[in-house]
Amino acid sequence: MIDFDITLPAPLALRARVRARSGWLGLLGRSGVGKSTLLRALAGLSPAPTRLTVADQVITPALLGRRVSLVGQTPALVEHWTVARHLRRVARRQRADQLARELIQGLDIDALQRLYPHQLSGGQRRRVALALALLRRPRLLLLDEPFSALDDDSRYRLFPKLQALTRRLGCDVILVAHQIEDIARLCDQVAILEPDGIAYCGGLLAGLRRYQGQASPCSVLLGEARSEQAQAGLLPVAFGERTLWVRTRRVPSAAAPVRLLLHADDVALSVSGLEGVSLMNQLPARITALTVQADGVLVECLCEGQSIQARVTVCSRQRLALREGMTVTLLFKASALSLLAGW
Amino acid sequence: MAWIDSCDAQALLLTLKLAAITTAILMAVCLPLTWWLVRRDPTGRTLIQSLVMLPLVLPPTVLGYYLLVAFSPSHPPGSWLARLFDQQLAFSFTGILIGSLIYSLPFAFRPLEAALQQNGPALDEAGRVLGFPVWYRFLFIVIPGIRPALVSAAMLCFAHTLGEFGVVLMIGGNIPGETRVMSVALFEHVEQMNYQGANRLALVMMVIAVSTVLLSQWSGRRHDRL
Repeated sequence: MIDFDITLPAPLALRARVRARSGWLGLLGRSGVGKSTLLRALAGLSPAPTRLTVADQVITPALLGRRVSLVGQTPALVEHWTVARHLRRVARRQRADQLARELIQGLDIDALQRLYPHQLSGGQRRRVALALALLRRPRLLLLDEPFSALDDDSRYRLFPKLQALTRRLGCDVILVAHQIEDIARLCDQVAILEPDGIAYCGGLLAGLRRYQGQASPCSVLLGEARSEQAQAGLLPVAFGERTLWVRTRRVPSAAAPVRLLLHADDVALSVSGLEGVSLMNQLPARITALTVQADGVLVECLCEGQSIQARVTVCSRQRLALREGMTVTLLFKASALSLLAGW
Repeated sequence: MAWIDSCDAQALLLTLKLAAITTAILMAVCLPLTWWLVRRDPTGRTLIQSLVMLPLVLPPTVLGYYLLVAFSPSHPPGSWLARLFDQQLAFSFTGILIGSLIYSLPFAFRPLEAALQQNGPALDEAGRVLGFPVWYRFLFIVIPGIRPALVSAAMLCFAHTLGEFGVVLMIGGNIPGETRVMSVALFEHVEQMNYQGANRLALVMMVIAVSTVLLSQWSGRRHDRL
């Protein structure tokens, strides 16, 4: 259970109340809204919150700081200690030598042990900080943009390990990530932070949809991977009665439920089906809503009981005479779909 | 020690002892004090800073004079101090030690405060994120983290105390083995036109001063390379 109510001092003067199930919680919000400050205060760093309750009990930040680990954007390490000394000292304090060995292996930092922090790359520094944070056996792990220095390959390798480790240690995670894909991959729940507090806290799909108005609109689709039929880098995913084609280098080992992310700007609309095009995905759908935005028209469609969003220009809307209730074909490339989970 | 006479050797040892004790006490006092000032930023911080800086601008003889007045056993605070230390402070080693502490205070305080202000909070936060308690962070993370400033403050203190003259002469006089430090001995040699003795003492002081500065520079560079 992640349950806290925190009030931050001026100039943010923010009150955030979060109540969510155990597991990974994604924290969304525009830049500057106070996500990092919120995490810092939760970790017992400055600025100290003016009021903090955890599970309805008033608590001091120092007390909370003992059970909370933070991995910041540029993780703080002791510059005159080697990585090995960091690990040794924290492990000794926590009496967790066995866990230290496990983390060194799991996060692949054995080769870095003799280096000083300033000799580490951004990604290595984060891996070390993650290991140290987990070594403290926190009840709550706060991750502030921990993956921004990692390339896609490293992410793919890191994510499952990280999920397994947090599950094994029984710690909850709050993740702030710039890339919505990371949140959609790792989290089951999201909270949306706005200047006057938490505007939403709940399930991932509804949260992402609600957040779309603020960030780049996208849809998260649920399907079932048909791994045994994968061929030539294309993975078929059962989507209701239909099949979506996903271009991916990583094919789940067995048939598994997967999440797919589709940006609204990558979806085109056609009033009739198209023949002779390279687009792998053509889905019939019914328009349920049209919203005019500053940079186009957001078209919400329903297909196989799931909502898919497309964004077109005002001009296209007029040309195709789009209106609610109309049936259209959604067109997008296999590479427009990114696989979020179950790889 | 045939090269310098036993009286000067005594002055040399006394000076080194005075400088070493002064440096040790000032480091032990200034580290927690400056860290407290940086961390808490209390009201009155500017006042404390100004008071600490005072010996820098005050003529040493003025400082020495006021100390001498203060040490007078016939009235407080000299009478209290005399009871506290169980001895008369004027013209004693304890007396010139107190004088040196005040006289060299800015040389310990200033570099430490500047270094802690610049690097202290980040070092402390790193330790905090790793879950170490406050005393551990101060002793094993913050202090080693500002080592170059620490070494240079200690060296400055040491070198500055070696050269102290006005304050010692005012409150210490010239008692061999008790308050006759090298600068006073040197002055005495010159007064007695014993230029050979003066030369030797001056050379010894020069060598100590140069090696102190070299040592502090070398320590700073070693830290940079790390």
